[in-house]
Amino acid sequence: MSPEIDVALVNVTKKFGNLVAVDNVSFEVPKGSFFSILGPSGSGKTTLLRMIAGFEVPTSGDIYIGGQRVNDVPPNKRPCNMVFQRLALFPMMNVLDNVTFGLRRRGGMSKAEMERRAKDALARVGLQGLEKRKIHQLSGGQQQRVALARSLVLEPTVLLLDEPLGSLDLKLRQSMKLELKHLQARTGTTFVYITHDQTIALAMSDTVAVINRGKIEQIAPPEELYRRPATHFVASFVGENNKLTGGRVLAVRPGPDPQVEVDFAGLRMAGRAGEDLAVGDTADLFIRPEMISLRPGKHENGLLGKVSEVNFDGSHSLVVVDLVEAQRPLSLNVKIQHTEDAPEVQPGDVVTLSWRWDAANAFHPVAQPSTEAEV
Amino acid sequence: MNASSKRRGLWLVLIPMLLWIGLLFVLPHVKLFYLSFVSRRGGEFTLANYLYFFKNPLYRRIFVRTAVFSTLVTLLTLVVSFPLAFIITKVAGKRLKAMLLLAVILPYWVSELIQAFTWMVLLRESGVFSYLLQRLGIIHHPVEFLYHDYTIALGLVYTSLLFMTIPIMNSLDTLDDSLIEAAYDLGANFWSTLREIIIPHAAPGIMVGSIMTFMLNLGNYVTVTLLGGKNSLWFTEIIYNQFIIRFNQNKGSAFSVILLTFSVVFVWIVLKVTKQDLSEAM
Amino acid sequence: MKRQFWMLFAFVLVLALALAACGGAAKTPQPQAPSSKPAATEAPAATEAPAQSATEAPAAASGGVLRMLTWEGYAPEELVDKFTKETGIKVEITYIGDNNELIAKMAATKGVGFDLVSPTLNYVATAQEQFGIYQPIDLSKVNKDLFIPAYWDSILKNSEYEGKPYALPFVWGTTAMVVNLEKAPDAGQSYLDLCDPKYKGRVTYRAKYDTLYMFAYALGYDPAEAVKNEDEYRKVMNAVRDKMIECKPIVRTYWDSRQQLEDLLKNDEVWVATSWDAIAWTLMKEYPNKFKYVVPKEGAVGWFDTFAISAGAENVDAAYKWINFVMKPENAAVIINKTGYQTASQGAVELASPEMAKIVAETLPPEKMKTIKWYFPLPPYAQDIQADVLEQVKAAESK
Ligand SMILES: Nc1ncnc2c1ncn2[C@@H]1O[C@H](COP(=O)(O)OP(=O)(O)OP(=O)(O)O)[C@@H](O)[C@H]1O
Ligand SMILES: [Mg+2]
Repeated sequence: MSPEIDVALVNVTKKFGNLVAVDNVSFEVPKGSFFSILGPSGSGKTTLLRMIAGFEVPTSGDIYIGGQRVNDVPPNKRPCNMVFQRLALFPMMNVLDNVTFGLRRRGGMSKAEMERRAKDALARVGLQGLEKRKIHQLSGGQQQRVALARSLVLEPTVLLLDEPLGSLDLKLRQSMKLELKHLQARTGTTFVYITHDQTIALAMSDTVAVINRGKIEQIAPPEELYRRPATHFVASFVGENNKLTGGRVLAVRPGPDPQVEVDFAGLRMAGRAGEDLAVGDTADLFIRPEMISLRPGKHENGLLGKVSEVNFDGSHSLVVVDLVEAQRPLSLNVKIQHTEDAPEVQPGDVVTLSWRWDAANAFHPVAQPSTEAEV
Repeated sequence: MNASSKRRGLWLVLIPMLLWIGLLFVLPHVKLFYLSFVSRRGGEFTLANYLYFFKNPLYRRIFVRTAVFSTLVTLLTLVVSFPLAFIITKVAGKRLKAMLLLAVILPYWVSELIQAFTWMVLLRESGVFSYLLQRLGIIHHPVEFLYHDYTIALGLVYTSLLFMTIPIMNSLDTLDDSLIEAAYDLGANFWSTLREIIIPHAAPGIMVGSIMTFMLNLGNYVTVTLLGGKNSLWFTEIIYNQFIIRFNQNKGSAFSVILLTFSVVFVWIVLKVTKQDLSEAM
Repeated sequence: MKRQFWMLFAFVLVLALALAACGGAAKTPQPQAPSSKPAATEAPAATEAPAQSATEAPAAASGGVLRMLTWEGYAPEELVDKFTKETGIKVEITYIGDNNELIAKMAATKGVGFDLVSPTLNYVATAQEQFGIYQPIDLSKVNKDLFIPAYWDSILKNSEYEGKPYALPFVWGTTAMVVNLEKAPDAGQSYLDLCDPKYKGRVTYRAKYDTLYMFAYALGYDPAEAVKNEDEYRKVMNAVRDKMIECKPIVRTYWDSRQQLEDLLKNDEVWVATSWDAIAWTLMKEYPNKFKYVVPKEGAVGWFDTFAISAGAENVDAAYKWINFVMKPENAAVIINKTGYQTASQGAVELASPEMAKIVAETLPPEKMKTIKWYFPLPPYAQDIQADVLEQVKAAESK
């Protein structure tokens, strides 16, 4: 085990009766990195984290923290701390006592020193002055920050966070998101962060693991995850997409990044083969709305369309374009950034759409569509 | 509906209840209180009934013994009930949980008298317990386990187990398991989690259970007499004697008021010590 | 703060009531309370229910209702049904477990609610003096021929208050000793055998007044005489107390109920005990060679349960009808068989079980009958003295 790796899972499986909550998962979290686990509700994220924290015993497989196999180490002896999904603050204590709880257990420190550190931790999460409050006298967001401070104050090697920003309003979530990121950078603590909110995962993480039904779908840095999804699920779950289904593969150009052309309603569309595809296969194609370029008027090499809707969204506009040459009704969403030279369109305008081939990803259709992030 | 008719509705609901409480609870005690301050013949005001108690070393001793014993047994019941309640609510699987609950409730299907007789069958010199220990070679001749203070304690713990366990279970039920996990996660061990998280959370249940158990112990008669044998005089018997054997309602009332006052003080102290508010605990 | 106080107050009140009920502070004692009256069978809580035949409304119309306050076994259903059939009078029974309880119940209403009561003889005159709960017996309404004459005379005389008789003889029994013939064949010569170190831990008796009398007679006192003077009685009882405290290491436990005594004896845990005759006789029937009812030289202690008419009686005629009915030998025999006790009915013993009659004749022959020490009436101070002594004995520390 490399000393640079803080947390490692090797073939970890967890079953609850017949239910396989975590299915043969392996990954490594490098020291000091921000590692996110992204997946829909019920996909096994919490179970995974609880196994790292020591509250669940893996049915099979090994867990390493700091190079040490910890399967048999009880939770109170593991060098990691957890911020619980439901916070689990101690209602019988005030804020300060909550935060000093871990320090008191550890001992070897004066009371004043403990309080100093606790106040410091509270200041870092923006809660100075609330030390004497009871837990039930705090807002949801404040409680969440107390939970963070309670773990942070212990300066753990690994901090496990289970959806810690779940109940915050958008604004607070944005600022806490940044705060967390800074905190992580400053302290060098390894974060294992669980969320079902991809914007958080993409914005903050060094690496993201996408999990679905207990299985890891892909582990990659956010950008790669976004641009080069490895599976149908990742493509549909991460980021916004135009999803075209039931096309037929017309051509495959092999290479390190195989390129394909797929027929949808008589239109040829280029894309990157996310997995092995052969001519004649059925395929789904995912195209990012912001990767489609839109030119007013009729042009060569592009798909001719007619604007049916324009939705203004501040910095962006979402334009719905009907593909007029398609053999059946087919439309694409296009996101235009409002830059100086951005084209101005109105419903009814004729436009031409085009994209780089690697901005679209093609996969075999999946039998059961999983939770999808539709545009 | 306007405010005044709403209020009338409230009164309609309240009056029967107040009457019930008044007739059943308040009046008898007012009478008890009154009787304790008048003389048996003549009926003029006197403190003699109380002085009689305080001047009588035997009564004082029995009173102290009853009070101390009840307190100790309450603590003992707590020590037994708490792990039991914890296992039932937090540890046991469905089957074990049902079994333990049944074990706690089952004794109450029979009267206290029958419970006491059951203990006697088990603990007497020629009883099951003595026989088993002999078969196991732990003792070599029959031993009488009845008629000791510890037998009384055993019987009392048993009769009040339910009244301690249920309130504690109630309060432990509302304890979020993740609090215990969080404590562990922050480095606590079993004992510190118990001390700082579990017990403070269960304090209202512990308090209610303790008060009920204490009252039951204090007011016990059957278990104490049957299991305790010749050295088992309890203060309730003294009160019984005053009312029924000596036909002295006034002294009996005074003794009852003394016992009552002691209970109030006990409850008050428990409340203070556990920093509980009764209205919160209920 | 104020609210908290009231909550506390209410809470304590509720619990205190429960406590008071347990402690016997309520006027009617719990049925589990130690029975200070030898009843043939235990009076469990369920038998407190009063009515026996609540549905027969027409009978009530013809003969009214007779309400009795009596001991378990003294009005068997068999006889009640027969009585109702003969007279048309419905019978409602309330059971008591204790003479003091009986008096407390009667005193609470000056007897209203009950017609016929069965107090023990020694309680009749004193209760009448203190509470006025009975009315004099109207001898013209009783068939004297049904009674054994000796008992008739003695009970009428001993229940006199202000020159009028207040009770008629009904059921009687004795308290003496039962011994285990295998373990303690020599025991039973004197009540002082209860104090013999030879039998340390193998002795049981009641911490009740009957034991006080036994020890008093054994120590050479005559409590029946001494009771007439408060100081004298206290002196005697204090001597008894000292003896009982001295003997406390010998006694295994004080018995309270028939069940308890039988268990102690049958399990060989106790060899020498005080016992009501009926308990001992039943044991002798079951184990003829093992147990024996013995009357020591001081004599058995005897009690006599009576008929008394409530001062608040609403159906006096029915009460006398019941007396004349139940004292018929064939009816009294039913009670003998049911309870194991003797009755004052002339000719009833002959009709009851011959086997039992033999045991009775054997253990209580005429010369022993003559030595019976009957319970004597207790002036109020005597109750207090006895209670003091018993409390002191029970409170005394002993191994
Ligand atoms: N103790 C348990 N016993 C049985 N099944 C469980 C247990 N804990 C979790 N599960 C199941 O395992 C699966 C994964 O649960 P988990 O809590 O890990 O999901 P999650 O990804 O954290 O979901 P969410 O985002 O909603 O919190 C779910 O189907 C859940 O019902
Ligand atoms: Mg979860």
